[in-house]
Amino acid sequence: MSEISTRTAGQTETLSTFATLRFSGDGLEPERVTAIIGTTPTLSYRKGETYFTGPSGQTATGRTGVWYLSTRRVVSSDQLADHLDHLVMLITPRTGPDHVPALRELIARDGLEADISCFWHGTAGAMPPNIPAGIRKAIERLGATIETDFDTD
Amino acid sequence: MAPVSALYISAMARVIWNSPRNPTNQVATTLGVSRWRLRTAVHEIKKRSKLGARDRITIYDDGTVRNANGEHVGNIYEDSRAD
Repeated sequence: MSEISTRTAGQTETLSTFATLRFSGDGLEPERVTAIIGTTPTLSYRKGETYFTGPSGQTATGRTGVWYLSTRRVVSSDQLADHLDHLVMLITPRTGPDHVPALRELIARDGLEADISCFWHGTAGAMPPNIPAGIRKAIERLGATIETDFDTD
Repeated sequence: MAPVSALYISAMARVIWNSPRNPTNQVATTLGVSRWRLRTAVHEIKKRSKLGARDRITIYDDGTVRNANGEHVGNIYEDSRAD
Protein backbone atom coordinates (compact mmCIF):
# COMPACT_ATOMS: atom_id res chain seq x y z
CA MET A 1 0.00 0.00 0.00
CA SER A 2 1.36 3.37 -0.86
CA GLU A 3 1.80 5.96 1.84
CA ILE A 4 0.45 9.42 1.16
CA SER A 5 1.99 12.28 3.11
CA THR A 6 -0.48 14.55 4.82
CA ARG A 7 2.14 17.32 4.90
CA THR A 8 1.46 20.35 2.78
CA ALA A 9 4.57 21.59 1.08
CA GLY A 10 6.06 24.61 2.78
CA GLN A 11 2.98 25.30 4.89
CA THR A 12 2.80 24.61 8.60
CA GLU A 13 6.38 23.41 8.80
CA THR A 14 7.90 26.67 7.63
CA LEU A 15 10.15 28.39 10.17
CA SER A 16 11.17 31.26 7.93
CA THR A 17 10.46 32.32 4.36
CA PHE A 18 10.81 35.50 2.37
CA ALA A 19 11.89 36.74 -1.04
CA THR A 20 14.16 39.54 -2.20
CA LEU A 21 14.28 41.67 -5.34
CA ARG A 22 17.64 43.20 -6.18
CA PHE A 23 18.92 45.47 -8.94
CA SER A 24 22.67 46.00 -9.01
CA GLY A 25 25.43 47.46 -11.12
CA ASP A 26 28.18 50.05 -11.09
CA GLY A 27 25.94 52.49 -12.95
CA LEU A 28 22.94 52.04 -10.66
CA GLU A 29 21.15 55.21 -9.59
CA PRO A 30 18.71 53.89 -6.95
CA GLU A 31 16.17 56.67 -7.36
CA ARG A 32 15.60 55.62 -10.98
CA VAL A 33 14.42 52.17 -9.86
CA THR A 34 12.34 53.68 -7.07
CA ALA A 35 10.71 56.10 -9.51
CA ILE A 36 9.61 53.26 -11.78
CA ILE A 37 8.46 50.81 -9.11
CA GLY A 38 7.04 53.46 -6.79
CA THR A 39 8.16 51.70 -3.63
CA THR A 40 10.96 52.56 -1.23
CA PRO A 41 13.52 49.73 -1.05
CA THR A 42 14.70 48.07 2.13
CA LEU A 43 18.16 49.40 1.31
CA SER A 44 19.84 51.12 -1.61
CA TYR A 45 23.25 52.65 -2.28
CA ARG A 46 25.47 53.70 -5.16
CA LYS A 47 28.88 52.21 -5.87
CA GLY A 48 31.36 53.59 -3.34
CA GLU A 49 28.61 54.97 -1.10
CA THR A 50 28.61 54.22 2.64
CA TYR A 51 25.50 52.60 4.07
CA PHE A 52 24.33 51.42 7.49
CA THR A 53 24.33 47.65 7.97
CA GLY A 54 22.06 47.68 11.00
CA PRO A 55 20.68 49.62 13.97
CA SER A 56 24.06 49.70 15.76
CA GLY A 57 25.24 52.29 13.24
CA GLN A 58 28.04 50.22 11.73
CA THR A 59 28.67 50.97 8.07
CA ALA A 60 29.89 49.32 4.89
CA THR A 61 30.92 50.68 1.51
CA GLY A 62 29.11 49.58 -1.63
CA ARG A 63 31.31 47.53 -3.97
CA THR A 64 28.69 48.26 -6.60
CA GLY A 65 25.31 49.95 -6.66
CA VAL A 66 22.41 48.04 -5.09
CA TRP A 67 18.64 48.52 -4.87
CA TYR A 68 17.34 45.83 -2.53
CA LEU A 69 13.86 44.99 -1.33
CA SER A 70 13.17 42.18 1.13
CA THR A 71 9.65 40.94 1.93
CA ARG A 72 10.80 39.56 5.30
CA ARG A 73 9.30 42.36 7.40
CA VAL A 74 6.68 43.40 4.85
CA VAL A 75 4.71 40.22 4.14
CA SER A 76 3.51 38.19 7.13
CA SER A 77 2.91 34.83 5.52
CA ASP A 78 4.58 31.44 5.83
CA GLN A 79 3.91 30.84 2.14
CA LEU A 80 6.81 31.65 -0.16
CA ALA A 81 4.32 32.20 -3.01
CA ASP A 82 2.77 35.13 -1.08
CA HIS A 83 6.18 36.76 -0.76
CA LEU A 84 6.94 36.26 -4.45
CA ASP A 85 3.48 37.48 -5.38
CA HIS A 86 4.19 40.71 -3.48
CA LEU A 87 7.32 41.28 -5.58
CA VAL A 88 5.55 40.41 -8.83
CA MET A 89 2.77 42.88 -7.99
CA LEU A 90 5.39 45.60 -7.62
CA ILE A 91 6.75 45.08 -11.14
CA THR A 92 3.47 44.14 -12.80
CA PRO A 93 0.63 45.70 -10.76
CA ARG A 94 -2.86 44.34 -11.32
CA THR A 95 -4.03 47.91 -11.81
CA GLY A 96 -1.96 50.60 -13.45
CA PRO A 97 0.94 50.36 -15.87
CA ASP A 98 3.17 47.33 -16.29
CA HIS A 99 6.64 48.39 -15.06
CA VAL A 100 8.53 45.59 -16.83
CA PRO A 101 9.24 47.49 -20.10
CA ALA A 102 10.63 50.52 -18.21
CA LEU A 103 12.69 48.31 -15.91
CA ARG A 104 14.09 46.31 -18.83
CA GLU A 105 15.05 49.56 -20.56
CA LEU A 106 16.78 50.79 -17.39
CA ILE A 107 18.59 47.47 -16.96
CA ALA A 108 19.88 47.63 -20.56
CA ARG A 109 20.78 51.34 -20.49
CA ASP A 110 22.59 51.36 -17.11
CA GLY A 111 24.09 47.87 -17.40
CA LEU A 112 22.25 46.48 -14.41
CA GLU A 113 21.51 42.97 -13.19
CA ALA A 114 18.19 41.93 -11.68
CA ASP A 115 17.71 38.93 -9.45
CA ILE A 116 15.14 37.47 -7.14
CA SER A 117 16.03 35.18 -4.27
CA CYS A 118 13.72 32.79 -2.47
CA PHE A 119 14.55 31.86 1.12
CA TRP A 120 12.88 29.05 3.00
CA HIS A 121 13.81 27.13 6.16
CA GLY A 122 11.60 24.34 7.40
CA THR A 123 11.44 21.85 10.23
CA ALA A 124 13.24 18.54 9.80
CA GLY A 125 11.67 16.51 7.03
CA ALA A 126 9.47 19.34 5.73
CA MET A 127 8.87 19.62 2.01
CA PRO A 128 10.35 22.73 0.38
CA PRO A 129 7.92 24.97 -1.49
CA ASN A 130 7.50 25.22 -5.24
CA ILE A 131 7.71 28.42 -7.22
CA PRO A 132 4.37 28.75 -9.07
CA ALA A 133 4.75 28.75 -12.86
CA GLY A 134 2.92 32.07 -13.23
CA ILE A 135 5.29 33.78 -10.82
CA ARG A 136 8.33 32.25 -12.50
CA LYS A 137 7.09 33.50 -15.87
CA ALA A 138 6.58 37.04 -14.54
CA ILE A 139 10.09 37.08 -13.10
CA GLU A 140 11.55 35.80 -16.37
CA ARG A 141 9.76 38.60 -18.26
CA LEU A 142 11.87 41.05 -16.27
CA GLY A 143 15.02 39.17 -17.27
CA ALA A 144 15.79 38.49 -13.63
CA THR A 145 17.52 35.37 -12.39
CA ILE A 146 15.90 33.28 -9.65
CA GLU A 147 17.95 31.84 -6.81
CA THR A 148 16.61 29.44 -4.18
CA ASP A 149 18.06 28.96 -0.71
CA PHE A 150 16.03 26.11 0.81
CA ASP A 151 17.02 24.00 3.80
CA THR A 152 15.57 22.23 6.85
CA ASP A 153 16.62 21.67 10.44
CA MET B 1 46.54 41.49 4.10
CA ALA B 2 43.42 42.18 6.14
CA PRO B 3 42.50 45.81 6.87
CA VAL B 4 43.55 47.24 10.25
CA SER B 5 39.91 47.43 11.38
CA ALA B 6 39.50 43.71 10.63
CA LEU B 7 42.64 42.87 12.58
CA TYR B 8 41.39 44.97 15.52
CA ILE B 9 38.05 43.15 15.56
CA SER B 10 39.81 39.83 15.17
CA ALA B 11 41.89 40.58 18.24
CA MET B 12 38.73 40.84 20.31
CA ALA B 13 36.39 38.38 18.65
CA ARG B 14 37.03 34.80 17.59
CA VAL B 15 36.39 33.44 14.12
CA ILE B 16 33.75 30.72 14.27
CA TRP B 17 33.01 30.34 10.54
CA ASN B 18 34.99 31.04 7.40
CA SER B 19 33.45 29.38 4.36
CA PRO B 20 31.28 30.00 1.30
CA ARG B 21 28.82 27.36 2.51
CA ASN B 22 25.81 27.81 4.80
CA PRO B 23 26.93 27.94 8.47
CA THR B 24 26.47 24.78 10.50
CA ASN B 25 24.43 24.06 13.63
CA GLN B 26 27.63 24.53 15.63
CA VAL B 27 27.85 28.16 14.53
CA ALA B 28 24.22 28.73 15.56
CA THR B 29 24.86 27.10 18.94
CA THR B 30 27.96 29.21 19.55
CA LEU B 31 26.02 32.39 18.78
CA GLY B 32 23.01 31.22 20.81
CA VAL B 33 20.53 31.56 17.93
CA SER B 34 18.46 28.96 16.12
CA ARG B 35 19.83 27.74 12.81
CA TRP B 36 16.90 29.19 10.83
CA ARG B 37 17.53 32.63 12.33
CA LEU B 38 21.22 32.29 11.50
CA ARG B 39 20.44 31.28 7.89
CA THR B 40 17.88 34.10 7.58
CA ALA B 41 20.49 36.63 8.71
CA VAL B 42 23.21 35.29 6.43
CA HIS B 43 20.87 35.31 3.43
CA GLU B 44 19.85 38.94 4.02
CA ILE B 45 23.43 40.06 4.64
CA LYS B 46 24.70 38.40 1.46
CA LYS B 47 21.88 39.74 -0.69
CA ARG B 48 22.12 43.35 0.38
CA SER B 49 25.93 43.27 0.14
CA LYS B 50 25.81 41.99 -3.44
CA LEU B 51 27.48 38.77 -2.36
CA GLY B 52 26.56 35.53 -4.07
CA ALA B 53 25.36 32.38 -2.35
CA ARG B 54 28.83 30.87 -2.87
CA ASP B 55 30.82 33.89 -1.71
CA ARG B 56 32.94 33.32 1.38
CA ILE B 57 32.03 35.07 4.61
CA THR B 58 33.67 35.09 8.02
CA ILE B 59 31.53 35.05 11.16
CA TYR B 60 32.92 36.05 14.56
CA ASP B 61 31.62 35.02 17.96
CA ASP B 62 30.29 38.55 18.55
CA GLY B 63 28.05 38.13 15.49
CA THR B 64 30.17 40.29 13.17
CA VAL B 65 30.14 39.18 9.51
CA ARG B 66 32.91 40.14 7.08
CA ASN B 67 33.35 39.45 3.38
CA ALA B 68 36.40 37.79 1.79
CA ASN B 69 38.22 41.16 1.81
CA GLY B 70 37.76 41.54 5.55
CA GLU B 71 35.17 44.29 5.15
CA HIS B 72 32.28 44.54 7.62
CA VAL B 73 28.99 43.58 5.93
CA GLY B 74 26.66 42.91 8.86
CA ASN B 75 25.98 41.32 12.22
CA ILE B 76 24.07 38.10 12.85
CA TYR B 77 22.41 39.43 16.01
CA GLU B 78 21.11 42.54 14.27
CA ASP B 79 19.83 40.64 11.25
CA SER B 80 18.31 37.73 13.18
CA ARG B 81 16.07 39.94 15.31
CA ALA B 82 12.48 38.74 15.61
CA ASP B 83 10.39 39.61 12.57
